[in-house]
Amino acid sequence: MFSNIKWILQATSSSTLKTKLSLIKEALPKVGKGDDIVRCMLCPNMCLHVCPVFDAERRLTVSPSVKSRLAYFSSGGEDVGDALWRCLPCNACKQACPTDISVNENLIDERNKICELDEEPESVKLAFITHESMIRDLEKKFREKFGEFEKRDGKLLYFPGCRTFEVAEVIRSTIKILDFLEIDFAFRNVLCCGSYLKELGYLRQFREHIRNLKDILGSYEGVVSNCPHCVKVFLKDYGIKAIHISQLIAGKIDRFKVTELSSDDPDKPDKADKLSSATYHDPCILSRDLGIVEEPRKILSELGIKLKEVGYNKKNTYCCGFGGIYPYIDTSMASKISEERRKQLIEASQTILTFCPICKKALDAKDITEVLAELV
Amino acid sequence: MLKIIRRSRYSEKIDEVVKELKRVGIKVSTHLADRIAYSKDFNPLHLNRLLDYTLPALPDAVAFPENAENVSSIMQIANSYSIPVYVFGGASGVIDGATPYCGGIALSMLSLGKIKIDAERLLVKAGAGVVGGRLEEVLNHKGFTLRHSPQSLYCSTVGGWVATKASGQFSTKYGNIEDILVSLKVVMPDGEIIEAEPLPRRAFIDPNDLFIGSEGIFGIICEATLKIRKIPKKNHKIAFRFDSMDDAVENARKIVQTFKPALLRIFDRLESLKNFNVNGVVMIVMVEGEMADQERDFVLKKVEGEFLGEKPVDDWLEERFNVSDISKFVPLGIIFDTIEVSCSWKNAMEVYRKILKAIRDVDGTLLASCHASHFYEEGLCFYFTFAGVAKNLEEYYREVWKKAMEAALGTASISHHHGIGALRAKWLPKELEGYYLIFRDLKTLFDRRNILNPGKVVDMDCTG
Repeated sequence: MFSNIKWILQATSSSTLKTKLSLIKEALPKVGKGDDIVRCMLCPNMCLHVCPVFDAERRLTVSPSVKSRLAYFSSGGEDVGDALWRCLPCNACKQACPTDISVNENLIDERNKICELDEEPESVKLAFITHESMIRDLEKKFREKFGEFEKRDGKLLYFPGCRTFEVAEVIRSTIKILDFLEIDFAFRNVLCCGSYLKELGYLRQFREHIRNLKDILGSYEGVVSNCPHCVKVFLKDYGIKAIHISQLIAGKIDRFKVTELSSDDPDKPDKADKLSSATYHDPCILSRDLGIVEEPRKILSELGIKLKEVGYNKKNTYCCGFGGIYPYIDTSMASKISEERRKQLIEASQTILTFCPICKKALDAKDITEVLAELV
Repeated sequence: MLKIIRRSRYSEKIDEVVKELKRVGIKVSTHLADRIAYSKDFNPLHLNRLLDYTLPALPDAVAFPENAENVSSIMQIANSYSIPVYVFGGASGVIDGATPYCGGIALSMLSLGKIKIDAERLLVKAGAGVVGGRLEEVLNHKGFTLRHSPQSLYCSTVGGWVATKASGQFSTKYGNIEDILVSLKVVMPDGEIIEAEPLPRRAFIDPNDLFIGSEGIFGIICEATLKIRKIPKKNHKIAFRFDSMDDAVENARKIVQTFKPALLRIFDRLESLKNFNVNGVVMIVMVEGEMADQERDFVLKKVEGEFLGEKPVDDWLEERFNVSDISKFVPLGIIFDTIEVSCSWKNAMEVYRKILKAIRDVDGTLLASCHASHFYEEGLCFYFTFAGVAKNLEEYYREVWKKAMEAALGTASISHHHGIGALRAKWLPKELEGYYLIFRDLKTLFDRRNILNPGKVVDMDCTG
């Protein structure tokens, strides 16, 4: 509204000189003072209808605008508990916001301030410990046997992402696909992008994590990952080249055409026939932050799979509940979100496909890499 | 840092009440975060105060019932302790209708969130806590719509719509919430649960009428059955420019006394310039449904304005939920609000001029504008917007409201759809005259201990 000068001049033309002077005295010194936390807390919660955390917890306390209000009061010294951490990185709020505010991203600085004072709630400390212990378990596995996967070198680094190790079949499938596509790729014992540190508000540790990992990752031509979180953080925080596996596959989808694969080998069942139709769950970060909406659909279409769209789809998707740190803060509420999402998807089709290891696990879905691996 | 304008009178009792609530299985919180979340509605005065870490009030506890039975238990316990209960939906109301000035319990209705569609009867049963935007999306995914679209659609709730007698952007054709509502499930102040079957019509006074617009003072709305319809397949959008508000309003009368367009709005010069960059008065019309072609032809033939095509309608539809101006105004120390009234065609322009002048005449007013937003055979709703700056913002704000309400009384209603709350309560006796005492008596009859939303609508005690 402030860009329309003609309007401002007309709007204020009937105000008195005294009022105009008041405007100069009271308002002008405040120009530029409100940040995104303030702007968000002054909104009536116009993204309430799309917030999955609110949808699960059903209390205003964890609604987007109120979380910003609480962050503001927290910055003023009030103890607002773990409400600031009860958020997902889904950016449903940002998608709905006319001023592009991401509540989760906005809250990170306030979380950081609290963590730096060592005043974070117990649930946050526990979330940190839970994730750290998962990483330690994985590292141990790698040290002992390197899991079932072979370490290898190549031009492009395949970085599954720590949560992908919870669904190892996706890694198996991806390696099979990368080999099939004759990609010169490396695979090594680097596990976690560190995004959970950022989400929790441990920014100092996050920066240190980046420092430790950036040299390793930077020595490759680029990184390909199954995890949209990793891709986002590599692009945004590490500043390195990274792509999601869906982008790589979509560019070479011709190689997977069902007719070619099945006609070459008469003994091999045409497995895509088994999956004649399915619904697709758009992972939040993949669709909203990375803008990858058409690639998965193109892949499914080329495979001859009839897509039965769910109501909440593409950039208007509905979160699986398990991204970011929320499942560590409150597993039962995260599960409530995933149950709601699964219910929506099942109404469209019994077969749920997705392109994210976290969503796959949360929704008991099949990753598209698995569908493709069956074909090769 | 936290400052509270009006402190609770009930803090001493709360531990015992909370213990009792927990004993019967009610989720209840006394955590500061929950209490801050349920401390206010969206009245603009509260926004300017927030910047100074100031809240108008703070409930002693927040209760989270999951069904009508829980609500009933809460009311019985609240009665036994004579402790106030303030009912909260999305807290998007602007008339200070939910702010818990007395303290006590804030009752969050948001867990009553079930949606059940009856495609055969074209009805939807929705819990009071269902958020409007969510309900509309769920309906849309199945090919239906409510066509109830208040600007607060994305943050207001079904219970809130009924309690505040809400109106939507397509009300001219489809009616206000009272026209869409079929039946209710309500918990009375003493805890009794009452429910009516969703029938097309019945004789005697409609029980719904006791609660539509009651703003939570007569009972707590737990569930509403609403009419739904199939999403119209066809629509036409048309916009016109007029030289004056008088011409546009007269042309609107011609339309609505012949048929009801889905959307009809008239913006005065200031709003036309802001919204459409047009010098003049803009009217936007959208017709939809089976008769859309004939309705478009009528509008094109009969409306005597400069044809602007459909772009202004598209622009408005695109921006209709964008309320981000508030977030830009408030940090500058500017207060911003809207006042909506209804009046008949006969004195429409008198009301328009009188109220606009009353607002502009208050020292501190930076801008005042108006659009006409809802239309009936007998009249229309004018929706005024004002922004002001002053050393004492509250004083300025209350003066604008006083002048605008005094200008409205006698020729217009004091509110069309935002409600009364605490903000307009002092002008309600004049508006209702003899009926006011009847409603006060009813309040006493229903809520003997005056524990349900005290200080609102017909009660001047314990207000902001």
